[in-house]
Amino acid sequence: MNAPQSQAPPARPRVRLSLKWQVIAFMCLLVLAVAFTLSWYFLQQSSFILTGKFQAKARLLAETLAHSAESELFNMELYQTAPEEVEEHLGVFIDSLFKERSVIRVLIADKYGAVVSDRSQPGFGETQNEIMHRATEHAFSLVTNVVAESIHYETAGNEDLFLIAVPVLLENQGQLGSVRIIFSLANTQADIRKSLLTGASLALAIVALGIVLAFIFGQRALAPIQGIADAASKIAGGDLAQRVEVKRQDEIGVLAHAFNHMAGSLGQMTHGLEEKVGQRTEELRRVNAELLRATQHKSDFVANMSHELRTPLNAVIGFSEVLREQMFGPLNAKQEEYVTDILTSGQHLLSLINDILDLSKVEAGKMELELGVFDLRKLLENSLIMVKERAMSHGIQISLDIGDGIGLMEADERRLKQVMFNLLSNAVKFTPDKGRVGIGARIVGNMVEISVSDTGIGMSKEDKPKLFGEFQQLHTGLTDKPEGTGLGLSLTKRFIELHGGEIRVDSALGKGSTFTFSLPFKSMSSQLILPAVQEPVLWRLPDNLSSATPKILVIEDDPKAADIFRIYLSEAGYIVELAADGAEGLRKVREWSPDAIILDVLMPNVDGWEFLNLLKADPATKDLPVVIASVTDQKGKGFAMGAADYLIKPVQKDELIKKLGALHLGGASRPRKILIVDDDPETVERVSASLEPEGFQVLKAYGGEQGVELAHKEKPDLIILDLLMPGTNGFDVMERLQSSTQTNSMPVVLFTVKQLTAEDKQRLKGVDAFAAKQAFERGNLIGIVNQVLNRDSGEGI
Amino acid sequence: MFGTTLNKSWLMSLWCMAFALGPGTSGAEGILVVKSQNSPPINQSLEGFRGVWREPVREVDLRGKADSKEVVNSIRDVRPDIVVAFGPQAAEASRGSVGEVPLLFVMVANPAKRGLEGRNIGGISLNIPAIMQFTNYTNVVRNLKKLGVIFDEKKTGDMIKEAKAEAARIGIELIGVSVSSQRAVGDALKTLLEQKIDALWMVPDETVVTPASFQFLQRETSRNKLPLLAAAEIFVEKGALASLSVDYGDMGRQAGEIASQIIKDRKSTEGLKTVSPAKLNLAINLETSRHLGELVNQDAVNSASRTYP
Repeated sequence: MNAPQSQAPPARPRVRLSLKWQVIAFMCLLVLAVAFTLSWYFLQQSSFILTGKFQAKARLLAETLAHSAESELFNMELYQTAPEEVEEHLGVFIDSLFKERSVIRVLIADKYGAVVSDRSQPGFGETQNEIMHRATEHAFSLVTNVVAESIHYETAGNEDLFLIAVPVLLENQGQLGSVRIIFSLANTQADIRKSLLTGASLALAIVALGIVLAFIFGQRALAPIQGIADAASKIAGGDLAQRVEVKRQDEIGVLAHAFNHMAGSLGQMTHGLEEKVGQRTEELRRVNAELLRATQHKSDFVANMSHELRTPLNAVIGFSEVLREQMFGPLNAKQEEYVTDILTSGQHLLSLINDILDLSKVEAGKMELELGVFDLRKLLENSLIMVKERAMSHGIQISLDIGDGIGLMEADERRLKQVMFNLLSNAVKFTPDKGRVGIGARIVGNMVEISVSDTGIGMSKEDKPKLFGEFQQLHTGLTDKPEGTGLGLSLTKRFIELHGGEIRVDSALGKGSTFTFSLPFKSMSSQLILPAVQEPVLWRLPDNLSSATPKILVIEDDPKAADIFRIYLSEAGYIVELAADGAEGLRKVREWSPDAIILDVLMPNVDGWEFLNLLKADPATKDLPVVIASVTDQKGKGFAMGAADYLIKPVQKDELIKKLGALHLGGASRPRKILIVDDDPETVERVSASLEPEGFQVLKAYGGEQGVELAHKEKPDLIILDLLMPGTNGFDVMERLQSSTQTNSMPVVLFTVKQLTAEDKQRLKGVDAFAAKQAFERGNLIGIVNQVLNRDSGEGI
Repeated sequence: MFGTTLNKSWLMSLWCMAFALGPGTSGAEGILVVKSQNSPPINQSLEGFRGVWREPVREVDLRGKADSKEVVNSIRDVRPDIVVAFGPQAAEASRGSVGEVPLLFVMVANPAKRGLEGRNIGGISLNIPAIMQFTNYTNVVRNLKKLGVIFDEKKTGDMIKEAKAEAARIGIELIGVSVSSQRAVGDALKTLLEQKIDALWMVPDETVVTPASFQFLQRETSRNKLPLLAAAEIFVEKGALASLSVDYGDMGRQAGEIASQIIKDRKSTEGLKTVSPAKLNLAINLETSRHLGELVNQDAVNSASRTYP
C-alpha cells in the first residue's frame, strides 16, 4: 500500500490592492468628496453673497441718488428749474458715485423720460446707449413705488454690466422722474474669481492634507495587519516560528497577541503531531515490514506448499491416468471406478491448489495477465461446450445470444476461459433439471458485457454479500455436498478486475441468477493474429541427429514424476533417458545427445535454471530444445532463458506429447497425423494424395462414426471433416469431438460443399477453418492445414 | 423784334424769381422752431402750433441744454422770419441769437426773470394770472372769502402783492404769512388757521413748497378740512383739492396764431408781447373732495378736466 503523498501548501492568493491602499483610497475619496462638496457649496454661497452685496450696494446707491434727485426734480417740475441747474446741484453727489469703481454711468430723467443728467466714466457712454434705452423703456413699464428690477446685459465686448433703475417719487408717490445707474461687474466678478480661487486653493490644500493624513493613518493603522498577513503566510508555508511584533494597544494589538498565541499553539500542536506522525510512521513501517515479511512468507509458503502439494499430486494424477488408460493391463470395473475417483480427487485437489496459488498471486499483486487477441465469440461458444455434457445430462437447455460486433478482442484468454467455466459450472450446478442456462454478450460503449444467466435456485439478499468471498460456498440443496473449491467466484472477480472490468449479480431466491461482467472491448482486426504470449523459439534440429525416433532426456529429481514422464514418452514412441539433477543432466546431454529435454526446475545441486544457463552457454548444446515442467509458474523466466515451452505440473500426457510434437523432433520419424473424415472415398483419396507428399501421415475415416473413433484412438494433429455424411454427419462429429476433453482441442478444418448458414455456424463451434470442396486446390488446402497446425502450436489450458 | 422778345423773356424770368423769392421767404423756411427737449408737453404744444401753422418749419432740438451755438447756426442757415422757442432752455438759448428776428417763446415760467423781454421778444408764459386762479377757485370752493397763502417775501413777495389786489377785485381777502425758511411753514399755517381761512393757496415758492413741506401742508389741511389749492397738478395727485394747469396743446395753438399774425404783418413785432395761456385745465382730487364734502362745489368737480385718483 502506498503512503499518502504530502500536499504542498495552497498558493497565496494574489493581492490586487492591499487593505492599506484600499483604506487610503477610500479616505482620499471621502476627503475629495467632502472637500469638493463643501467647496462648491461655500463658493456658491460666496458668489451669491458677493453678488447680493453688490446688488444691495447698487440699489442703495440708486435709491440714495433718487432720494437726492427728488427735490431737484420737484423744483424742475414746479419751478421749471433748468436741467443744468439740476445737474449742477446733483453733480457733486454724482461725482461721489463715480468714486465707486464699478459705477460707469449715471442718468437722471424727468417724468417724461427727458434726460436731465447723463454722466459717464471716461471710456463709457455711447456703447451703453442702447442698453440705457432698453432699460429706460423697461423702467417706465414698471409700477411706481417699486424699485426697478435689475437688468443684466452683456455687451459685445463680453463685459458684464449691471443696470438698476429707480423711480424718483414725490414722497413715495407720484413719479417725478427716474434714476438709472450702470455698473460694471468686472470688479465684482474679479472678487468672485478671487474668492473662487481662494476657495479652490483651500479645497486643494484640504485634499492634500487629507491625502497625507489618510496615508499616515493607513500606514500606521494597517501596517500591523500587513505584518500579521505576512506572518500568517509564512506560517502557511511551514515556518511555524513566525511571530508578530506587538506594539499596539488596540484591537490590532489584541489581534496580534491572539495571532502569536495561535501560532505558538499551532507550533506545539504541529510538533506534537509530527512526533506522533513519526511514531505512527515508524509503527506503520514496522507493520508494513512485518506484513511484507508475512506476505513474503505466505508467498514462499504458498510456493513451497504448492510445490510440496503438486509434487505428490503429480504422481497421484499421473499414475492414476496411466492406470486408467490401462497402459499396464486392463482394469476391472471396480478398479476403473476407484482409479477414476483417485484421478478426479487428484484433479480437484490440483484445481484447488491452482486456485489458491492464483489467489495468492493476485493478492500479492504478482498476477500478470497474458494479454492476447482472440475471438470472443468462439471462446463463448467453446465455453458452452465445456458444460454442455453435464447440462444435457440434467436436461438443462443451454442458449447463446451474442450481439453484433462481438469478435476479436484483447484479453487474457486463458483467464477468461476460467471465468466462463466457473460461471457456467455454477449456473449448471445451481439449476434444477429441465432448467435453462444462457450466455449473453453485447457491446455497451467501449465495454463488452457478458452475462451468464440461469433459472436456478437463486440466492437471498443475505447470501449476496459473501458471494465473492473466499472459500464461500452456498448450499444449494441440489447436491449432497458443495462442489468446487470455494475460490472460483473470488478468482473470477479478481481476474475481471485485473482486466479493468467489474462483475455484478442479479438474483432472487427461487428466481434464478444472472452474473454480468464487463471487460474493456476494442474491436481488433479480423486477420488471423498470432497469440501475444511469448512464442517459444522455433528450434532447428541439431545437425548431428540421425536417429528416426527422437530421444528425450528427462531431468527430474522426483523419481515418481520422472517415472510418469518416462511412461508417457515411451508410450508415445520416444526414447527416454532420465537424469536426477542438473549435473547428471549435463553429463547425459554430452554423452547421450538427446533431441529434446524435459527439465524440472526445483532440483538439488544444479537446479533447472543453472542447468539451462549452462546448456545455453555451450555452443554445442545451446540449440537443444528444452521443455520446462515445474510445479512453479515462471514461464516468463523460462522463455527468457531460452526454454522452448513451459508446463505446469502435474502435466497431462496429451499436453506433454503435444508440446513435444510441436517441436518437430526427429524430422520425418514423427510426421503430423491428419485424419480425413469423408464418406466419399474419392475425396478421401484426393486429399490424402495432396497431403502425403508433404510429409503428413494421413488417417482415413469413411464415416462420422469411424472418424470419432479414430480421433479418440489416434489423436491426430488435425481433422479434415466433411459435413454431409449419412448417419453421423459432420455436425454430430463436431458435437462429439467438442464434448470430449480428449478431442475438444483437436483442430478441425471443415471441408464441404455446403453453404453454411448462421445456424450451421452456431452448431459448428470449434471448427478452426473452412475449405470449400468445389474450390478445392491442393495448394490452398495445404496452406490451410499448415496455418491451422502452426497456430495451434502455442495453445493450452 | 428779337430784342423785344428777349426783353420780355428777361422780365418774365425776373418776375418769376421775384415771385419765387417773394415776401415771406427771403430764401428761408419762415419759422425756426427751437425746443428745449423732446418731451411730451413740448411735443403737445408743438402739435398745437402746427395745427395753426401748417407750413413746413425747421426744428432744432436742444435736448435739454441751452446751447445757443446750435440756434445761431440754425438761424444763419435758415434765416427765419420768426423763431419760436418751446420751453425755457430754448427761449434762453434763442434770446441772444435772434438779433432782430422776432422771438416767440412758449411754455416759459417767469419769462421776465429769464430775461425774455425786449422789442422783438414775446410769448406765452406758463404763469397763470392770479385773477384767473381765484376766479376758477371760487367755482370750486364754496363761499371762498378768505384765502390764505404762505410765501417768502424775497422770492414771491411781489407776486403776492399783485395777487392781493387781484383777489380784492373779486371780493376775496388774500391773507398772507411770510416765512423765511421751511421750518416756519408750520407756524405760518397755524396762524392762517387761526384766522379762519376758507382755503389755502399754494404758490410756487421754493422756500415754502418742498416735497417735505407739501406733505405737511397736505396732512394738516386735510386734518383741518381746509381745501388746499395747489400750484401744480402733481400735488392734486398727492392729495391737494385742486389745481389749475395750462393746456400745452392750446398754448401751442395760441403761439401759432401769434406767429401767423407776425408773419402776416411782415414781421412786425408790435403785437409781440408776453401773454398768459388762454386755456386752463382744472384738476380735482375726488377723495379730497369727498373728504371736504359741502365745502366743494360738485359742479366744478364734475367739470374738472382731470380727476385723481
